[in-house]
Parts: sequence; structure tokens; C-alpha cells
Amino acid sequence: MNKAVFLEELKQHLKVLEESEQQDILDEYSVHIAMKMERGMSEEEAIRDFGDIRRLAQDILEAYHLDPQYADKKSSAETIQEKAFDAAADGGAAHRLGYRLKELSVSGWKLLLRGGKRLWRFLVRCAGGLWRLVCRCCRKIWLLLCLCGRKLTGKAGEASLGAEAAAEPVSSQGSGGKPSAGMPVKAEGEAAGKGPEPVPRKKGTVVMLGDMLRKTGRLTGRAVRWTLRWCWNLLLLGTAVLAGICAICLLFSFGVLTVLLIAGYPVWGVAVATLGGFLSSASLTLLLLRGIRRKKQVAAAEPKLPEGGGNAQEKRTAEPAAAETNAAEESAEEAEDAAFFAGNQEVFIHA
Amino acid sequence: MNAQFKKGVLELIVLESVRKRDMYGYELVEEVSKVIDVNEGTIYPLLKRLTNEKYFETYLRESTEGPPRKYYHLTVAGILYRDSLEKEWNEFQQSVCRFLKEKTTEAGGNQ
Repeated sequence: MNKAVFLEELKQHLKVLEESEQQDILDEYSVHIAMKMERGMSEEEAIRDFGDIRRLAQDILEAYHLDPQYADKKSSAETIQEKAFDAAADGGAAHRLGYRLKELSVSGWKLLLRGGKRLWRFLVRCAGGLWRLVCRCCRKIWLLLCLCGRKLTGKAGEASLGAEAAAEPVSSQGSGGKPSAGMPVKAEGEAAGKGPEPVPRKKGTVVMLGDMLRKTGRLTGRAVRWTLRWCWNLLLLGTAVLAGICAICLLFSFGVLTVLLIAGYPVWGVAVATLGGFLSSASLTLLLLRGIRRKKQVAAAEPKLPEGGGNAQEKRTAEPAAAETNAAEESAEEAEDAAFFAGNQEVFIHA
Repeated sequence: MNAQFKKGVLELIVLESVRKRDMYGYELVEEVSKVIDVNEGTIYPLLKRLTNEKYFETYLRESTEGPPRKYYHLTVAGILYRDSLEKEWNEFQQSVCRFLKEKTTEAGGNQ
């Protein structure tokens, strides 16, 4: 290495300093090397005595309390920083890009949330549909029993059937609100159909038997529905509790693993896995709890509504109201859902 | 010679040399080399640091033999600093000597 190359390389390392300082230092070294050469040393030897150039530059920079590692740090971050500066100088293009990215991420997040909500509502609807199916079967069984009863009692039981039908909505609250709405309509329709023959007869033993059969049928139907509803709720609650316990255990394990991580064990993968597990179980718990509450709210809301007769019309208007009161805090999409529910209700009632 | 020893006393030697008379870089390296073996790679950064900390003043003086040379001059702060270093060095040296003498006496006594 000759003197010029040495000085040039040293200058490169000292780029952070002021121009005058750089020149000052280089001049001094230049003079020193020149004097050594006068004393008879060669350029090579003179330069070798300085040792490693990088080390030399570091020591010089430390004299200014500068970080000697700055150059290495700078070269990697330099391109990104410079590009950002250029972008900013271009009139905020980077700024705009940043904004757009932020908006995209926010909208993407909203989309995800909406999709999740839609999925949840779809599941709830499926569950509701299943429930209605069960209720329909119960209703059909009840009707069969009614028919049997009527056949047994003949036309005489018709009047009492009408009375029973009228008393239906008032008596069967809390568990069979929806199906009973359909029943009075059907029952009334049939009663109206057979209306023009209101021949009152004395209640015989056969009629009593029919009554009792009907009552037992109704009671069993109600009991079945009640147990089914409570089973469903218990199932959800049980799963929620399980998931909650799971979440707590996973959180604890995650904490332990974090401590181990800090201590230096290589447990990155397991730690991430426990965190993921904890988040999933926690969200599952919250979902299930929310699901349970919904069911109870709907059940609680129902008896309050069809107080004045089991009119199908009232039912249809009441359903959207129930749906809206349940989901008052959500967006206007709930109104759509309520309309959909009402539409479905019509279908089910006329089935 | 232990590098750490040399590193420790280098500052004191440099300050003492410049106190005696103003010197430029090459001259100073020669003076210090009479006391301890040291290379230019260590001296010049040290000179730069002491200058930045205001213990040295520098000025250029024309020379007949080539380009102007940068001379170092000890400031008042430099003189005070040098005195404190000398004091510390004396205490340090005496303490170490005493300790070493004790050890030899013990070893001698045990024998």
C-alpha cells in the first residue's frame, strides 16, 4: 500500500468528521510518513507501523466521542433512510403511501370482522333452523294427537278444541312461543273450517279421555322442548367453561415459557404455539358465552311479546323487534337479518 | 512488555513530554519510544483525544524541511491533569511495590 492509498482509505473512514478536521488529521499523518521516509524507511514500512487502518480510524473517532460502529450501522440503514428522505422531498409521496397502507390494513381488518360476524350469524341461523325443525316435528306430533283426540270425541270435542286453541298462546309461554303461534293459526283455521257445525254435546268419558290425551301430548311436547333448550344451553355453557379453563392454563404455560425464554432456553416454537392456543380458546369462550346470552335474551323476549293472542301477524312484526332489541348496538345489517327472519317465519308458519 | 501496563502510563508520559517543551507528532513519538515501546497507531488518536478535551493546544509552525508541522502545547488544564495523573501513578506504584515486598517477606519467613 502506498501513501496516497493509505490516506485515501483513512479519509473514507473519517467521513463523518468535518472537512477541515479530516484534512487536519490527514496532513499530520502525511507529514509523519514523510519524515519517516526521510529517516530511510520505505513507504510500506512507514504505513505498517500505523497498524490496522480500521482500528486506527476507530481510535480517532473515539476521541470525538463518536460511535466507531456507526459506519457499519449506517451503510445498511442508509439506503432505506435516504429513500425515505427522497420520498419526503418529493412532496409527501411516502407519506401518502403510508396513509394508503394504513387505510388498506384498517379496511382489511374491518372486512375480516364483518366476514366473521356474517359467519357467526349464519351459524346461529342454522342452529335456529334446526331448532325450528325440532319444534315442527313436535307440533306435528301434537297435531296427530289432536286428530286422534278429535276422532275419538267426534264433533263434540270441536268446541272444546276451539277453546283450547284460544287458550294455547296464553298457557304455553316461555318455551313454545314460536310453534304455538303457528298452532293457533292452524287450529283456528281448522276450527273455522269446521265452524258451521257447532253442536254442543255433553262431555262423556270418551271426551274426557281425549282431553287428557291432548293435555299429556301438550305437556310432553313442552317438556321435550324445554329439556332440549336447556340441554343446548348447558352444552354451550359447559363448552364455554372448558374453553375458559383451557385459556387460563394456556396463558399460565405461556407465561412460564416466556420466563424460560428469557433465561435462554430455546422454546420459541412452543411459546408461540401456547400463545396461539390461548387466543383461540379465549375467543371461543367469548363466542360461546355470547351465544348463550343471545338464546336466553330471545327466550326472555318472546313471552313478553305475544300477550294479546297468538296472532301470526303480531308474531311476524314482533320478531324483527326482538332481533333489533337484542342487537341494538350492532350495525344496520341486523335490520336485514330481521327481515330475513320474518320472511323465514312466514314460510315456517305456512308450512 | 505488557500492553495494559503501557496503555496505562502512556497518557502520563505524553503529557510530561509536552510539558517539557512543545513538540510535533513525529518528535513526540520518538520521545515516548525512549521510555516505552509504542506505535504511531496509538499515539496520534491519543493526541487527538487530549486535544479535543482541551489539555493540548495546537498551532502550525513553518519548517524548512517540508510542509508546516503541527505543534502541541500543554494548556493550564493539561498541567493540572498531568499533576493529578502523576500523583495517582505514585500512589499506585507505591501500593503495588509494598504489596509485592510483603509477599516476598512472607515467602522468605516461611522458608
